[in-house]
Amino acid sequence: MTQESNVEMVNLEIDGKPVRVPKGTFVFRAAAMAGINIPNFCQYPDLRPFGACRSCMCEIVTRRSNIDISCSTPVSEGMKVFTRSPKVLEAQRFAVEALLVDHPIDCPICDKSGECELQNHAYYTNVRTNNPLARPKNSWEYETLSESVMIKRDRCVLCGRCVRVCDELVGSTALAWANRGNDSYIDAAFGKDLKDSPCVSCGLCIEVCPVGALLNTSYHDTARAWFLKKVKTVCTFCGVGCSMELHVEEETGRIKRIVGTQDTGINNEQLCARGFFGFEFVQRDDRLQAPLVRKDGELVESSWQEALSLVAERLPRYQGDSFAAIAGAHSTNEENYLFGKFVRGVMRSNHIDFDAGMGRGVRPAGLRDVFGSDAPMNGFVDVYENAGCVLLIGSNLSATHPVFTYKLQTAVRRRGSKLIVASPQAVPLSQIATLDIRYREGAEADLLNGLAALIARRELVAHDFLAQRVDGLHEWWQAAQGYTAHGTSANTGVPVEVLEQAAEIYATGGSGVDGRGADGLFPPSAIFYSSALTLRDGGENIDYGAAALALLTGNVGRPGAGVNSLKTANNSQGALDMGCVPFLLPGERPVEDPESRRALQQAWSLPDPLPARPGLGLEGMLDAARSGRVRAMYIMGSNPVEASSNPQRVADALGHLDFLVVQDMFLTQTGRQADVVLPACSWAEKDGTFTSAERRIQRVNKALTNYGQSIPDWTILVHLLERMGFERLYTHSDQILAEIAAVVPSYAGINRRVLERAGNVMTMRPGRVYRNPSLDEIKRLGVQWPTTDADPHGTPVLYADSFPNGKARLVGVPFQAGRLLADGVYRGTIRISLYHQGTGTMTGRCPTLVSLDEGGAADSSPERGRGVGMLRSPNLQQSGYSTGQLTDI
Amino acid sequence: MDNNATKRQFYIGGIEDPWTGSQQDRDRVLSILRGFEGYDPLEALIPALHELQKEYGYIPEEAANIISQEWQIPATDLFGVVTFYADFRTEPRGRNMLWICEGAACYFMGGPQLGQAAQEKLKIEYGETTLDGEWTLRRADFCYGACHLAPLVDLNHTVFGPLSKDELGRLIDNPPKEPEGSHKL
Repeated sequence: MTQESNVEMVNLEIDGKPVRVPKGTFVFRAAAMAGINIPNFCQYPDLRPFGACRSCMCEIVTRRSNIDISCSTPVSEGMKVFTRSPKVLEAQRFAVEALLVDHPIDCPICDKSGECELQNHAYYTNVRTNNPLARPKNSWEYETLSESVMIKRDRCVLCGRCVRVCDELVGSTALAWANRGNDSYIDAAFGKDLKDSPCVSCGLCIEVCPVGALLNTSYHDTARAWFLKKVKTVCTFCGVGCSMELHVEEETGRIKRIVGTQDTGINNEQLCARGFFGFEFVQRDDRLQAPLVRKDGELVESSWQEALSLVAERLPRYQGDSFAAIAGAHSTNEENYLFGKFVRGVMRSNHIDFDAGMGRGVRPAGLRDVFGSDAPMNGFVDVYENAGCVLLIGSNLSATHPVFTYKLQTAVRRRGSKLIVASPQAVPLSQIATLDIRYREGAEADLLNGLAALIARRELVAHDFLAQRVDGLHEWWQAAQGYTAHGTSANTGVPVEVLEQAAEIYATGGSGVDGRGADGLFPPSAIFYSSALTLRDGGENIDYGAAALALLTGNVGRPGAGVNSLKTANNSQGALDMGCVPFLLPGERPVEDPESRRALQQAWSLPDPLPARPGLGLEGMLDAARSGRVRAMYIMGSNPVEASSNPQRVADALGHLDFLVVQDMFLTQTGRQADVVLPACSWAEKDGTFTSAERRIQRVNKALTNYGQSIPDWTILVHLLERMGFERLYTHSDQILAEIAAVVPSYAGINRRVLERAGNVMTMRPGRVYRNPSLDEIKRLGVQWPTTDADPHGTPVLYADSFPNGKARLVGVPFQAGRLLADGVYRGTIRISLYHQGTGTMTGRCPTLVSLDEGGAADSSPERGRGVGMLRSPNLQQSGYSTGQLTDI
Repeated sequence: MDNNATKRQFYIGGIEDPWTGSQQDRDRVLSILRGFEGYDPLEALIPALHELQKEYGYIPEEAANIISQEWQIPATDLFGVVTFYADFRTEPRGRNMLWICEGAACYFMGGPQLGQAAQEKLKIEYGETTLDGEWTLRRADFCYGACHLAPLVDLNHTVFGPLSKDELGRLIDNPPKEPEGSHKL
């Protein structure tokens, strides 16, 4: 472990081994660092010490020898610890024996058998006899706490990990201790269903349970732990990009469960309901088994040869502007890159887009005008560790990026970060917010620009930063000075004093006006919102306002700050980076730029130059299809019909096409319109990379054999290109990754080995000195683009030295009194589910998620499952509660 | 929450649930909470729960939820506190609350026999309430700290002892309205 020099270190000896750890570390943790395992139940690295189970007793010698619990004894200089002395073993064995007095030895029928900590400790501490305290055992039946969580209370060792993780790490407080002493047990408050509690069904309680007391309903009685093959991969749902392990039964080749793993990824064992329970869609019987080809108006099963030959024969007729394509926000980078190459290079069209949320395509973001890119500047871990203040605006990140909000609440409650939640409705984070702002729906832009003007008036700005790195300050002020406190208040419905307070907290990083550090800067403040918020008309004004706030206060290019517009799907950021956008080539280079086009033409060895005009976005394509200008479409892993708020209209547009190819796992409503439907693999069946909303590139690993005749999206494209007369260039997705590393500047130098080296930073844990980790430490977590050949671990914080265009350019938004009151376009707020995502094509096929969302019993019918996603809340597909202008596309 | 008010006239064993969930009840809880203004909610919690229990004889779940919302204490913590202390109840109880002490001293001085007699007389077991809603009987496995009175019973927060079986019978037949026990808690 490398440590910073300013941390005081302590030397001690554990089992004769010299150990050097930071002051404040607990003996247990120090032993773990030295590779010495001590039995424990209530100890959990991310929790405050609890000292309930007494099984981690060690002989701790300072001035005198003492048997003490190692989980809550801090190290001291010169301490000697014995973890295996006869005295210690005796004490540890007694602790385990005492637990076994009440624990039913029903290991043969227990899900946890084989990975049970009590089983292991009994084994290692050599428990041979019945405890003399033995008495008749209590017996409790299986009980369901909710659709996802079961409990068998007699197995419980009352370590309290579940209660404590729920409170400390998830912030839910859904589980409680009931009763006292011998009669204690774990329950939801007042014995109710967990669903009536703040429970978010993240499954962490199940995961941390050392014995088989808390059980996963979907895993219960389905597999034995020792037959499970564990494959590390990354989640396929939201933009947080949690690392997870798929547990696949070797014999049947089916996923049995998903767990997070300690010290891995940015999530560090935490997952959300989608991640934990959302895998059942992979092995649903309604997956596409074979290609479908339309014959006499009906889609019928056919062979790959027939389907691919048909596509290869028909598509060349539509080369150029009559061809359009939609890429997948859940597809891997390799697939999206190859798709873009196919569309631009082979089909010679720039009409390529993907569903950026709300069934709408990507819009040129306002952040791009200001900074040169709309990528989030700071990562989740960086903000979690370093931000003095976090401003969340207009987004329910608890539903769209759940695990990030779990981390955020920990930062607020443990580290004392300030949190400003601005939202038209109460969101879960409002409860712990330092300042909870309710503004009029749709007033985000006014609120942000108004706050920026307030900060400018109050001189809470970073003068040096503005002078050195920002252009257009004067013009910005010309536009922004119209935002008076009262005008902003009238437009947004937020009282003036709340605005003043928010401006002060944000500008000073929560430290108050006297909080400037030695460098003249306040502690950092970060802004977060879901990029779906900016997809409506006028959405760029939100970007301009957020950018102005950050630039004025110097909150750009330093740890714990930044403007972070989070993309919603797991690989939306990657799809954008891979150029699946009408106006950008791979690497965020504009299509109009002849130099970039030439470079790409050369890299792809194309005979003709690439089309120079930016193409049509998703809405434009559908309009063009309706008017007959676009005659063929290729849709990969996307479902525009169901994603739209007006499915009929999209289906109608697709109906006008001459030829439609759809590549998907399931026969979606979009697929039903197609002439050829090609069965694709799920994320669990392929290799590749995803780029999370914080620019983190992570590797996806194949865990299962392909379902039916399905093959990964990129393989389909390779086969198709081969049939269209091109040389076969790739036999493995890593070869595409190598090409990406060579062609896409921001991905330079990445390869499989770099991606697999990613670890975790272990900071801000109880028992360690709270300190802000350096960027180098955060870098060890993995790879965040832009990377370079020399430094493939990339850049945790963007724009630390310079902006892509040299300087950032402030863009002002003129004040317009009563802007919102006049036009009544801001209708309603979108309810989104904690359990479903997007169109529900995937989550709607996971019975556990469906039952959690519906509140009823699990229903295995896929139609009904999807119905939850679609029909019960018609706007679910917005996959972000955000206020939206519900117009047709 | 409000629609619960109509459906439970009677709860268990004919005991009328004093908590109806009406606005009046809610206001009563709020007024109890107002009495603790200026205190740290965590300090005030147990005294407030005592007042609530005095009012209703038990801690109604909805009342606990109101406390949870007003004072920003997780409902789980409240549930933990209410179940942790033997004196707090989560269900309505009879009009008279009789504890039979079976702490160490009372145990040896005949507490279990007193308990047996009370159970036979009231025709209920420990923890139960008579059908007419008059009596709730509970066993105290803790100590009242009044061991010189052993064996003792606690009737409506007043301690009586030392008692014989007959004396206990008479006490049950004729519970004093304003009890003047051997020792008032």
